[in-house]
Order: sequence, then structure tokens, then C-alpha cells
Amino acid sequence: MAHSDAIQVAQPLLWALILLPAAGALVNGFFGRRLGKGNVALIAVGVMVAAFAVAVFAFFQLFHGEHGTVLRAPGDVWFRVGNTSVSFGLLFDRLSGTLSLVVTGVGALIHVYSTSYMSHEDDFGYARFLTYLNLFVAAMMTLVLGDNLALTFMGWEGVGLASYLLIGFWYTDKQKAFCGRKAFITNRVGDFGFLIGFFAVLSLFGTGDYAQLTQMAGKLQGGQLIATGPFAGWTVTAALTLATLGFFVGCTGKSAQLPLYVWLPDAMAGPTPVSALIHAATMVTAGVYLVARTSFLFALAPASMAVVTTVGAATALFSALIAFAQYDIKKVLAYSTVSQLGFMFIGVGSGAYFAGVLHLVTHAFFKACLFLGAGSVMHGMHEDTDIRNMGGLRKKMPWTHLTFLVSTIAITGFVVPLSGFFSKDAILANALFAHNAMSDAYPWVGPLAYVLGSLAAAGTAFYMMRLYALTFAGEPRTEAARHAHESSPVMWVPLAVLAFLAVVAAVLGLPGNWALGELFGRFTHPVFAQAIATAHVEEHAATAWPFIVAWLVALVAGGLGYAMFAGNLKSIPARFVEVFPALTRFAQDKFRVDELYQWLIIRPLQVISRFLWKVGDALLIDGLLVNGTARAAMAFARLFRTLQNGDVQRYAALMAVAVGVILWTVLGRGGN
Amino acid sequence: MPTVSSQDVLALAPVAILALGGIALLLSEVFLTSGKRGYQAFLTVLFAATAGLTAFGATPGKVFAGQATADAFSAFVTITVSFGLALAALVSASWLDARGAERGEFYALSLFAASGMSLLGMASDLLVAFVAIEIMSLSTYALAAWMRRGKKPAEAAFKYFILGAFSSALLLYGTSLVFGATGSTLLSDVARGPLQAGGSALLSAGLVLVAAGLAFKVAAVPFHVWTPDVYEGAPTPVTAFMAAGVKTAAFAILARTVLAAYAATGGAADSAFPRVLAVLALLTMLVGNLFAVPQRSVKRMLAYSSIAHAGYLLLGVLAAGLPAVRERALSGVLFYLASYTASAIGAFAVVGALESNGQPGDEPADAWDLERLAGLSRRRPLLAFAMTVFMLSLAGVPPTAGFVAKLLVFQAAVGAQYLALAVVGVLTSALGAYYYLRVVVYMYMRPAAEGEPAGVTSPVLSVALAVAVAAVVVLGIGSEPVASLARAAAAVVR
Repeated sequence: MAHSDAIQVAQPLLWALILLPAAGALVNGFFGRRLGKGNVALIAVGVMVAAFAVAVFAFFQLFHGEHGTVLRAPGDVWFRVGNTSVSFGLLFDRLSGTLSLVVTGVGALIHVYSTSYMSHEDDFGYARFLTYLNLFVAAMMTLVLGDNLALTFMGWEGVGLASYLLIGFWYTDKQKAFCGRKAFITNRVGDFGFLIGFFAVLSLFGTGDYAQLTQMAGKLQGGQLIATGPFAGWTVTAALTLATLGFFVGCTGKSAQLPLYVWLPDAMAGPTPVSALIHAATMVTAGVYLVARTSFLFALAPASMAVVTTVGAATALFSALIAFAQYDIKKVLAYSTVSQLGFMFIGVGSGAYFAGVLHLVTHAFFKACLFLGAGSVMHGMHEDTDIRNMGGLRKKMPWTHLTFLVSTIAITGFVVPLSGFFSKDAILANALFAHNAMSDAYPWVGPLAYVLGSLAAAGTAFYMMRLYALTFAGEPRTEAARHAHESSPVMWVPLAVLAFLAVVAAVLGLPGNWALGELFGRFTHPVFAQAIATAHVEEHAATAWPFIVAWLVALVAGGLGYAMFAGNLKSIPARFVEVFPALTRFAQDKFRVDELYQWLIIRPLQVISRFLWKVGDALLIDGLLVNGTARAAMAFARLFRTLQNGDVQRYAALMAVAVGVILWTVLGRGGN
Repeated sequence: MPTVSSQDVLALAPVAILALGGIALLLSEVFLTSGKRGYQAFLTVLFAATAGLTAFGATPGKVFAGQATADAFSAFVTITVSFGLALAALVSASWLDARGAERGEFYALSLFAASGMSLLGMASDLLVAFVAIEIMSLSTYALAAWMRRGKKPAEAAFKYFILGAFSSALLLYGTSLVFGATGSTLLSDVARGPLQAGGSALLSAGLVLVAAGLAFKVAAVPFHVWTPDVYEGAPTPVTAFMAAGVKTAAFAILARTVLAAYAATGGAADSAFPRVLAVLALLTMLVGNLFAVPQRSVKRMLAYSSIAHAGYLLLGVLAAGLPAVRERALSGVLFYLASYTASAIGAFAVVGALESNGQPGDEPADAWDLERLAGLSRRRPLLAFAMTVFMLSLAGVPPTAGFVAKLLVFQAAVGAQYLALAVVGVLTSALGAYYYLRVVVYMYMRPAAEGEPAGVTSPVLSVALAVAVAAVVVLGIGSEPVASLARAAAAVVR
């Protein structure tokens, strides 16, 4: 098969990436209860494996032909409003292709894992779970593959819905249902920002299509004045700063950045495979994807780049510090996810686009592995999640331990050849040395991000080793830990695959002067070429010292973490708690951000809502408008019902009178 | 003496196919060897589909020296009517079968009515329009009386007939006045205005009478008085077909006539003719919606709802008077008609499936009471879901067809500077949500009354409902293909 033929086959097949999981969700959703668990699992996993195969096939087509080949499944016009028409079509380039592989590949593994993890549910719950999971993948693929902002937004909302359904999966538990609601509402705040950005782009360019936007944005200069439309008189930079900041507000919601990150830790109320798939590997990275996808717009707005970078760096450090004091295995991982997402935003914000996306990919591997490992531990520990009750699981759960260790090393980066090291340090080195539009306008942003990021990296090494040490090292601290058992192969084989990927993904991010150096950077270059040109991103000489510093930082902090919780320095944490009791409690309470929001936003809203409900709704609207209108309508209708009494003569008379009146009106006016 | 070419005949093919279908179904009754009549509905669907496809592929052109016009506009009308006919036939099959009243003549009459509707979509001459209206009306009079042994159908049909005759008289009298003023009944000639300077009063009077006759057919206030009684009394599937088909065809000829009238009377927005139309639209929107509120009979509520929708459609026709928004307004009207066809037939089908199944004549008074829908979501979840979709569409809630339709029409009205009327339209739509959603509330939130029958179930009905639901949803989400057809259809009307 000639490669052009293969591309012809692959393009319409892109729809299968969305339709296969959607079909799985439909079948399992409608008939799952009657099919039995075996068939449900077969369907759910089958569609994921098939989608992954399609993604691999399509991905290989990208290597053929000229540099920067993209696959497109063009769609027809979806709807038209005034002069703006929105079409639906799919775009499979080196960015969305990479994401497709991650979503379908990691997704397939997690589906396999779930078939065993959720086996305690009844038939209905089991089918419901896998339905939602398939639904999520369909929505996520829509988000990733959409060739315009409208389709991306549709996927964006779809993954939000799936996330809500899955966090509140055990909805009979009030607390868990509340967590689902919290996630949904927090995300709605962000979605509002996305919509502002979307509408700003629509009114600026009249289209949401990425290819057209890229082309039109390429012709713009930052200082140009806009002549028409709602932004008349603004400079291009000012208008695009508004638009891109709108997008970024959406990203802080979906990707859990300051100040909207609060929902993600609570999202751990969902079953653990959900945490792994949605709240670590894929959905939460949607914001990073959006910034990368619209990088050519961000490149025209240096202020937005600075905001993204700063918020990312601040989030990375802030949540790493919270993770120090958490005792719930999933909560630690959740704050770790928030922190790692911060790193990704430093990358895509400061012009190191490939590094941000690469960290997204490697993070998907090791964080999914860590979460699934945590799920395996919870299974072994009879759903206990408190790491103080664990310890010594190394011998009880050899496979879980090994994969968890590999992933921990990957995320902390103190053994050089593992993946997290290079992706994270590529981001930090880039932030420090980058020369681009952002660093010209805001020279302090890069170094600040570097310092905060390095501190966060040290924190990462510390809390991850603490987590590992408390869970796996030492001796069992409770009966449950003594009797823990390894999970079934259906669960640990996906773990092993993910751990393996976490190791080999390092190849993608080797520094520029190594053999195979910057493999991923060169691979994704066509996608980011315009953004790099617009923002004048300059190559910086590869120097060794940031890598060595990062390595030392990781080594020291990680070693300290292990020593303090499993080694010779065990007395220190207890002393710390004694000396700084307030600080410890403050950290354990997650810096009381939830309480802050409670006082600043939720309480006042409740007071206002109560007032509006009592006075506005109950009294004015219900009492006066709704019931009043209904009563008025009733009275009116009763009055006229005398006319509608079924008497034909009266009907004919009414019509005759009406004709007479109309004739009189028309002739009285129009005749003269 | 104009010559007849093959083009003239070919252009009328959809009408001919529908009429031939009627004859075929009449004959099928003659040669019937067994009591099985299940195939008759399918035969009807087949003829409807053929007519629709033929209309889709027809070459545009003038027919019989301009007395009729085959164009994208008439094709759209024929396709909508055929779609409505096919849906209504499927709905009728189970309804009639359950009452032992299924006969070939029923379908034959439906097909004859549809051929009249299709011809009405083409008519560009007042006399041809009159003939088409009579073909359509006479068939529907007979259909309304189909369950003739019951008290209500006979009364309904008789009322419909008498008042219909009255409106035909108005139409014919108006046509003769128009002929007197312009010397022609061709709409293209009428548009040129009166022959002599003093003839404008005569022409205006004629056009008013023609419009009044058509207003009767579309059930515009104050020519609507027959509608609730007739819609309630007629067999439910017939009501469905009348509400959708008659409205579509009548609005097609009304739009063509109004445009000619605008041209003939100067076309200024402040002249008397548009003002009268605006008042009619206003009254129709208000009365239709306000009267629907207190109805406990779902069928009667849907009758008033049909009047309300005529009001929104009149608003679209009114906006079409302004040449700048003509295309948008007319395409909105056409899309609205397609959307209303699917939603209304679906809604009436659900009502028909639930009404008392007893012998004709002893229909209980509460045959269509809201109470019959109580707890439907438990008894028949899919039926309740379908009804919900139809109610949402009629109320104009996204993502259904009704939303897009209302959006298009109101947009056109705003574009034509009828701001106040558009506001009234939106407000009355909000009022409409009250009585439509009440149905949903009964289905989902009220416990079922004791011993409520499950109603009719049949595969044919399920297919019809599934098609209607699919049409409503597809038109709501992927409106563009049909909307672009409607735009193309609107573009050819001058």
C-alpha cells in the first residue's frame, strides 16, 4: 500500500477514535445490565484496544511524506450564525496524534485494570462504570482531535460531565456526591473563561478553525490596531491577551491550577482508576493541550505567557508544600498531580512548548502507574488509604512495589535515565535561559519560574520518597498491612507496562547534544513552528550545570525524605511537629484554602442566594410573575371561552365581523 | 392558447404520483382478498417517499404558462408534506387497526389531500391555488369524519366543512375582485398592481379577502375559532396530518400571495396590508398561547399550540415583506414548517397511542386528559421520552428542532425591525413552556392513576415515533443540511 493510500484510509478512520468509545458507552449504557460483567468488560476494553490500534495506524502515517504531514477528517458545516459558520472536522497532527496515543493507550490499560478493580460492584454498577469510562474517552478524543475551538469546547464540556459522573460514582455517599458537584461547579467557573476566550477569538477572526486561525494570526503584528468589530481601537496584543487569558482561566479550572485547583484533591472520592485516567493522565492535561494548541495566539500576547508561567510555577510549589503533610495516599498523589501540571504550564507558558507536552506524556505514564499502584495498595489494605497504617508492603506486594518505585524515581528524577528527569529539567532550563517575546517584556518571569520550579522539584522528591517510605519500606505498622496481599495479574500487568513506559519515555527528551537528543522537540517542531517564530524563541546553548543542579537537588531532597521516614533521621518529623505545631496543622489543613473560599465566596453567595430566593423568587417571581401570570392567563382565557362555545353560527359571525373590520381598516387607510 | 410541453407534465409528477397513489389504494380495497390491511400504510409511505424524491430531483421551471411553478420552494413544501404524510400514515395504521377502522379509503383520502398540498406549494395563480385548496380541504373534511359513528367526529367534520366553505367563498370572492382590478389571477400579474389608477381599493379589498381565506386555513386569529373543536373532534392521526400538512401547504401559498400583495400595494412597511398582518400575528401568538394554558385535554392544548405556532410563522411571513431579510425570513418559515411537522405529528401520535381504545361512540370525556399521562415514565419510559422530546421542541428548547426554527424566525423578525413583535414572540414562547412542560411534569413526577391502560403498542408506531424523534433531534443539532435546503428554497421566491 502506497503511503498516500494509507493516508486516505487513515483520514476517515479518525472518526473511529471518537465513535468506537462512544459506541461502547452506548451499548454498555443501554444493555450493560443485561449483558453480564464478562461481556461488558469485553466491549469496553475491546473498543479501547481498537481505538488504540487506529491511533497507532494513524500515527505512523505522520512519518510518511514531508515534514509536518497532518491527517484531516474534514466535516461539513455544523451550524451557521450570521456570517460565522462552524464546521466539525478532525485534525490529527503531531500534537493531537501524540495525545491520541496517550489517551487511547493509557486509557486501554486503565480499562483493563478497572475490569478487575471494579469487580466487587454489582452488574449495574459495573456496566455503569465502564459506560462512563468509555464516554469519557469519547469526549476526550473529541477535545483532542477537534479541528476548531467549538469542537474542542464540546469535548471540554464532555470530559467535565464524565468526570462529574465518575467522581460521584458512589453517589449514595453524600460526601462523594458533594465532591462531584464541587468539581463540576469549580470547572464551570473556568469554562466561563474559556467561553470568553472563544468569543473573543470569534469576533477577532470570525472563525474557530485552528488552521485558519494559524494562518490569520501569522499575518498579524502585535502592535497593529484593530479596525472593526467589538475590539476596534485595541492593539492585536491587547485583544489577544484578553482572549488567551480567558482560555487560561478555563485551564486553571480544568487543569487544576491556582486558584481553581481545589476540586482535584476532592476528586479522589471517585474510584481509583478514574483518578488515574481522568485526574492524572488525561483530562487534567486538557488545559496544557489547549495552551499548546493555541500557542500561536499566546505567542502574540507576552503578558499571557508570563501569567501562565508564573501561575504554573506558583502552583507547582504551593501544592508540593501541601503534599508534605498529607496522610492519604491518594491525596498526596493528587497534590503531586497539581504540582506537576504546574510544571507543564511553565513549559508551554515560557515558550518551551515541546518540553511542556513531553512532560504531559511522561507524567501520564508515571502518574497513572502511581495511581493504579495506590489502587492496588488500597485493594490489598481493604480500602484503607492512610499511609500511617501501612509500611513494609514491599514484601507483600512485590509487583506493586517495584512499579511504584520505578515511577517514584521517574517523577523525582534522581536516577538520571528515567523519563521525568529530562522532561522536567528541560522545562526548568528553558525557563531560565529562554530568550523570547516574554523574556524581553518580563525578564524576571523566567528566573522566578526557575527558582520556584526547582524548589517544587525538591519538594516533589521529598514528598514522593516520604510516600514511598511510609507505604512500602520498614515494617508493617498494622494488622491490615501485615496481611496485605498482591493484586491479580489483571491489575499489576498494566502497572508493569506503565512503569516500563515511564522508563523508556526518557528517550524522547534527551538533551540536544546527546545522541537522539531532543527527539520529541524535533518531532513536534512543525506544530509549534509558528509560535516559535512569532515569539522569537531563540535556541539557547545546552549547558550542563542546570541538569547537574537539578539532579543534586532531587538527590538530596529525595534522600532526606527517605531518611526521615524510613531511615536514620526518623526522629526529625516528630520533632518538627513539636516545634512548629501551628505550621504543621496549617499544612495538614491544605493551607485552609477551602475555608478561605468558604468565607470569601460561598458564604456571601449563600446569603445573597437566600435573600434572592425569599424575596426575589418566592415573593416576586413565584408569587407575582409566575402564579400571577398564570392567574391572569386563566382569567383572560375564561373571559374568551364564551366565544369558544362550539356554536358554528357564532364562529361564522366572528369571522365575518373580523373580515369587515380588516376591510374597513385597509380601505380606510390604503384606499385613499 | 398555451402549448403543453413535457416539462409541464414532468414538473407536476409529485402531485400526480400522490394522486395515483390515492387511486391505487382505492383499488386495493376492491381487490382485497383477505382482511389484512397492514400493507396499505406501507404503500402510502412508498408513494409519499417516491413523491418526495421526485420533487427533490425535479427540474425547476414554470408550468402551464406560469400558473404553477416548480422550484426549490415547491420541492421543499412537497418533501415536507410527503414526510408528514408518511409519518401520519404509520401513526394511523396502529390507531385505526386498534379500532377496526382501517380501510384503503382512509389512505386514499390522505394521499389525495397530500396531492392538493403539493399542488398548493407550486401554485402561482389564485385559481390554481383555489383548486388545490379544495382538493386538500374536501379530503380532510372526509378524513375528519372518518370515525363517523362517534358524535364528536361528525360534529367536528361538519363544522370544519361549513366554515371551510365560508372561507373558500371569501377566497373566491377576493380572487374575482383581484381579477377585476388587475385583469389576471396570476400572482406575477397581481404583483404589478392595478391596471387603472383607481383600482387600488378594489385590489386591496380583493387581496384582503384572499388573505382572510388563507388565514382560515393556517388557523390565524380571529379565523381560528374552528380549530380547537375540529382538532379535538377529528381522529387523532387525522388531526396530526391536518396540523402539519395543511399548515405547511397553506403557509406556502400564503407566503407567495403576501409577497405579491406587498409588491402590488407598494410594499412599504407602514402601508395597511403589513399592519393588518402584524396585528394578525400578534393576536395569533397571544390567543394561541393564552388559551392553551388552562386546557386539561392534551389534544385541545395541542390544538391551541398549533394556533400559537401559526402566529410565529405569520411573524416570519410578515418579515419576508422586507426584501433585505426576505430570504432569511422565508427560509426560517420553511425550516419552521419542517420542524413543526415532525414535532406535532409525534406529539399527536403519543396522544393517540394513549387515548381510550374503546368502541367509537363511547369515547369518555377525559380521553385526552392530562391525568392519562401521569406516571407514563414508569409505564412506558420510551414513549414518555419521545413525548418529552416533542414537548421540548414545541416549546423551543435547545437542542431540538423547535429551538432552531424559532431562532431563525425571530432573527428574521428582528432583522426586519419588528422588534416589538419579536419580543412578544419570545415572551409567549416562554408562556408556552408552561403548558408544554406541564405534560413532562405529569409524565415524570406524578404517580400513575390506578388501572390506567398502557395504551397502544405496535412496531409501526414505534418506527414512526423513532423517526420523528430522530428528525427533531437531528434538525436541532445538525440543522445545517435542512437549513441550507430551506435557504435555497427561499432564494427562488421573488
